[in-house]
Amino acid sequence: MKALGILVLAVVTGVGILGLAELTQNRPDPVDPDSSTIVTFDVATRGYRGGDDSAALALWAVCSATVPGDVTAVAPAPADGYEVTITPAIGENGRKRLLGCLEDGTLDRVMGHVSDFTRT
Amino acid sequence: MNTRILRTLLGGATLAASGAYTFVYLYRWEWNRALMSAAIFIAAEVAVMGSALAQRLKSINQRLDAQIEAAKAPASAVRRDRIQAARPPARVSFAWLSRPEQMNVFVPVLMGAGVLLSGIAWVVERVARATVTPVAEKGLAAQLGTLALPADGFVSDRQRPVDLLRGPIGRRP
Repeated sequence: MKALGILVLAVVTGVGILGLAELTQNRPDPVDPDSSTIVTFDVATRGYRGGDDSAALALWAVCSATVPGDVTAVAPAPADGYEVTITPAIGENGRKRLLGCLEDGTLDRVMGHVSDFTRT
Repeated sequence: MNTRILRTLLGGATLAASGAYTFVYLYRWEWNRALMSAAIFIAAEVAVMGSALAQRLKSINQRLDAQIEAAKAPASAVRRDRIQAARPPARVSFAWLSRPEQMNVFVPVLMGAGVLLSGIAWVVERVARATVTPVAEKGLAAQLGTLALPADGFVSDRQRPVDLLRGPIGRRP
């Protein structure tokens, strides 16, 4: 009985480790040169000295390094917030990296929020 | 609710949530949040372990206190038990008598002592027979001497009536 419990625990642990490795592993995404991704995001600041525009620029300067390809400068979005264009379009792994960087506490007193990923 | 149960539940929930969110944030590529969640997990782990160890130490302390109290209460009984335990074994004057298989030693000794004592008694009896009778007769004669009648009788020629007032009959002036 004890050996069976140890065996089950070992199997569960192994499956869990493999699953986590699969979920968190970084891979290069397939590239479509004629595509692009438009990222729309907003920033929330608390006591940031430069204001929202400066915070968005700084945040994008840091997080643009997580994706391959060419990126445009931060521009105001038509509706609200800011938007950038990435060429070629990023895949699922690039999207997760960029989303994690923008919405994580990458900059002190700045919190980003991605509202839309549009692939064209 | 018992404080201990509440503490355990709170610690367990914090551990589970912070541990799970560490991996969730890793999956989302949110490294700062993952680091913070892992720090919370470690802090909760330390707190839970500290609580468990403190509980264990408290239990050990209570057990030791109970032992000390139990040792204190019947101090005289404990001392008495120790004295009795340290008592030397009872001395056997005739150790060979305590072993029945050695009665063959006892019988000859008893017979020898009997013969010796009989000899001594025979000697004492002989000496007594030879010495007691003459000595006793001599002492008896000496004691009876005071009862002997006066040699010249109770009445003499010189007896006068006034002599009766001087002393017992037979007393000489």
